[in-house]
Amino acid sequence: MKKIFALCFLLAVAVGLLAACGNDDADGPVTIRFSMWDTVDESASFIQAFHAVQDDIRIEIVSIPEDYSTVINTMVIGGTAPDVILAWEVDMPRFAANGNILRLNDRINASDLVRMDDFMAAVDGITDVTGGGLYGIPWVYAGHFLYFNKDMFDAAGIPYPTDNWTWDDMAAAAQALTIRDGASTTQWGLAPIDFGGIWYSMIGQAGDAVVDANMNLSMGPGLRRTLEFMYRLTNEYQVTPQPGGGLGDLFAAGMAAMTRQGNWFVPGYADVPFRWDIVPLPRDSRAHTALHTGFFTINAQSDHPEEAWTFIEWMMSYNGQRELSQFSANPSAMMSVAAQGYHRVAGQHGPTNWGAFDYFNHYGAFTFVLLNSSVTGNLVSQFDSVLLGINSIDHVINVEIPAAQRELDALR
Amino acid sequence: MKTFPWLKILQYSILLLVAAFMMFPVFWIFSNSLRTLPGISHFPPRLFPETPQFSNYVYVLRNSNFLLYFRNTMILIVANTVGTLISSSMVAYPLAQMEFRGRKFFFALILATMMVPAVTTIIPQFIIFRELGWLDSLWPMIVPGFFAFPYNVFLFRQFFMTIPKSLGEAAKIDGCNQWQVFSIVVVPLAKPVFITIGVLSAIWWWNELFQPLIYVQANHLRPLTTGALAGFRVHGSPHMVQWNLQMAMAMLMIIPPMILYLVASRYIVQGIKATGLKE
Amino acid sequence: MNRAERMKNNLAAYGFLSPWFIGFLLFTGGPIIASLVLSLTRWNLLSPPEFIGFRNYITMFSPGSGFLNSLRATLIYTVISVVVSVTASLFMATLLNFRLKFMGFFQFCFFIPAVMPSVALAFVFQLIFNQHLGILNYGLSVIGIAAQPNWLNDTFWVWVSLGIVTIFTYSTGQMMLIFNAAFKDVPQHLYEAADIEGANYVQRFWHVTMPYISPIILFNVVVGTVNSFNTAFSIVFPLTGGGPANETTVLSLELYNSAFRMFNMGMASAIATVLFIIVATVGAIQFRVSKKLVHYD
Repeated sequence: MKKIFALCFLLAVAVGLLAACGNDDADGPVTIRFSMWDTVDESASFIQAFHAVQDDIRIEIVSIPEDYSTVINTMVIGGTAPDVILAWEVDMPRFAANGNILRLNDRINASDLVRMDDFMAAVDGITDVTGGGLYGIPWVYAGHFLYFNKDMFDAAGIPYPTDNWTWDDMAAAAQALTIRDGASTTQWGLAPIDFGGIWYSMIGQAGDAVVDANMNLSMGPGLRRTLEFMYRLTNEYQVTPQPGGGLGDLFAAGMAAMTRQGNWFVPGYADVPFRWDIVPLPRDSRAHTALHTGFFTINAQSDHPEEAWTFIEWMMSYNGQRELSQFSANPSAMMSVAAQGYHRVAGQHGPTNWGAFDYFNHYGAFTFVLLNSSVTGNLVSQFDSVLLGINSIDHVINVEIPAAQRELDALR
Repeated sequence: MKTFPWLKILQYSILLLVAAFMMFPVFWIFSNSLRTLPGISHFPPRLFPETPQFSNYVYVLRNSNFLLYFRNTMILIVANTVGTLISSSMVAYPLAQMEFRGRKFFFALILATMMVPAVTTIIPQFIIFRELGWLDSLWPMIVPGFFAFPYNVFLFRQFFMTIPKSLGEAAKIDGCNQWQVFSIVVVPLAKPVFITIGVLSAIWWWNELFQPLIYVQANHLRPLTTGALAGFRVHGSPHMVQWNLQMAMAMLMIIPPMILYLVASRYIVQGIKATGLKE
Repeated sequence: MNRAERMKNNLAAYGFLSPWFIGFLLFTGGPIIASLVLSLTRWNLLSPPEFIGFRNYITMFSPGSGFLNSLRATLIYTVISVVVSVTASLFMATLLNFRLKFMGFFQFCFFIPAVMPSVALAFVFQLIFNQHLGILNYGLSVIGIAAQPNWLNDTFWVWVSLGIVTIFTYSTGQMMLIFNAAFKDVPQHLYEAADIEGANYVQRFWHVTMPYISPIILFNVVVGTVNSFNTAFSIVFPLTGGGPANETTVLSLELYNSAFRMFNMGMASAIATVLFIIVATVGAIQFRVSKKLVHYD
């Protein structure tokens, strides 16, 4: 018994000592907490670059690997959000309306470094959310590509995808590229949709608006066409696996000839052992990709709004945008910076078709990212359920879409 | 009864078969923790990797937040164990050793609250802790531990019932007050139940998922469970998991409870039996 | 004891009880009442709450609602987890009562999965159940079963999967130890009498052991039912996340989603209130049953 108490006591002391190590120094530079999705830390190149030009401010990254929007909302509710929040499209207007983030107009007007007249049109359209009030500045932007394995296309003897491919072209190629060994498939024509955003790009390509001007769901005939098409590919042609069956990226593993992913996957494929390239997502009734961005915002409860602004201002300067583009492989939303091509982070075996980025400008639109991410995420699992044979297309369109709309209404 | 060797062999084979079945997840975690990431997806699966990658463990211990998460879990375990041992034993004492108005009522109420699932009270608790400014800290999971956990009160009470009241009465004649009877007479006699509840509480907090999921958003405050849940994502693709590292972390997470069982199985077994049996 | 002494004695007892009493007000009793009040509001924690009467309850009970779906999922989960836990634990406890050597080792093997964190368990079963690359389907193909289920992505097989995982949970391990102790309490002379009458192993089990432990089985069934409300989240959330297509979204998960993902605190409180009523009902049954079986005083 004594021994056990002694052990508990020792543990308690050790824990106390460990806990005491976290205190920061009052005299040193100001620490600005900055939140970002994905797995990022302070060794990231853009943070290093900022630290190199700034002695008075240290950036501490609050990395949120999963469920970013939910976690940030919880932090804002609990009053524990970081100084600078990279806020999603759906959250920025919400936070602005509730007074959780600072209005930036005066700071932007007084700045020599930030130019608001240079943003691409689609990004510009969602930046001003309150009719004149600016609460966030878009960090970079992104869209979706079709990635393809050139070696597999060569082996099958079929031509590479083009910038003007249609769904039918993709389906035909996927059939030619699928290789079976008895009952099992050794090479898939097309990887499954690992990233839910691809679904919404497809629904847009099939003609639906996805989201209307009043932020309501607008999906019907295009959704039906999309689900029918993916169902055929999955269950009739069997050229793409059912959702949830893989443990990793089939394309990177050399087990799928094509995949559809965000453009930020380009550096992720830098080291794959095969030759590959990118093209715009195939079109259906129209060419389209869903776009993504995020907004630098300042937490209204921050103790250091000036330092937070200094950080944002530098990130939105030419040098900062260059660093962010190189780090994230996403183009700057500022046309003049994007034209410099800093986001073109080439790997060993690809890509070369950098012109594919141009279609973001012409055909891209912000759609599902304007809606609550839990609702759109749940809908993706409903789309998947069609491919799994659990739910019918009619059920998804007639029951699940209205149910999702009701959830969105309840959030207003 | 005569025992034929074939019966023994049959019994041992069944035992071994079931043991292998029950231990398979542990084995599979270990086996996968030694693979490369492509090795996880290798088909057909190998029972054991050809070249075990012990470097996965080095990576998890050095390059991930494992030690930080471990520290947070230890804080929760130590604080809650200390808290519940003090408060629950105090609450159990009068229920077992004293006569007072409302004894049966309070005991019934405590039994009833044992059944209330944590999720039914979580929202008001969340709001209380938000008002206190305690979100994104470990306090919401530490402070309630000092206010007696009904299940542990029940266990303490069952044990205290076995201590003859005459001991306390004798001490009172010697001039002890109730607090002294509790701390000088009853507590020293109840060592085994203190160890039992301490061990069960440690296991419980080692595994707790729901509360940290709700109260802790900051990465550096996560305990092991939610840390593992969010950990080892492929950069640029948060829904893809580096399974080999995930499994190495899972292995590291199941070793301490295993050791605890080996050291304290007697107490675990007694504690669990006490919940299910007649006095 | 005179009046003053009794008074003093009562006060001392309440003093000892005070930590629990404060805890009860702040963390159990108070929140239950607060949930009831909150369930009549619409509140996202950012803007002020708005009183909306019973609208949350009307939404909850309208056909096709997430709540009704989760009620169904909870019912299925509870039945599966209780049946599997009780059967598996009874089976393993029987094995642990063989009069052989190394039983400590076997008890270790049978019980260790129970103390594994549920997230670790969920992770490894995601690998085991994987449709194309998992060891389970590979095993099925080796023994010649061609139609291999997509374990976690099929509305039927996902329940089978959860049933399998239940074998490895804490509640099963807990019940196993309780049964094991109960077996040891069966008076030895009853077995000897059965042996004299020439009963075989199965007959002995049914006619001697079973009557003795049937109250314990009942006890475990009821306790397991109440516990399943608590354990459902820790298994279902990391393993299936409620999928496929909300098939396994149990009540606790539905509540978590609406409270901490949608920040619809009013709706979540309404779910909490209904869940509380369900548990209170089951608990009242449990209390009646255990009153007959367990002598607390």
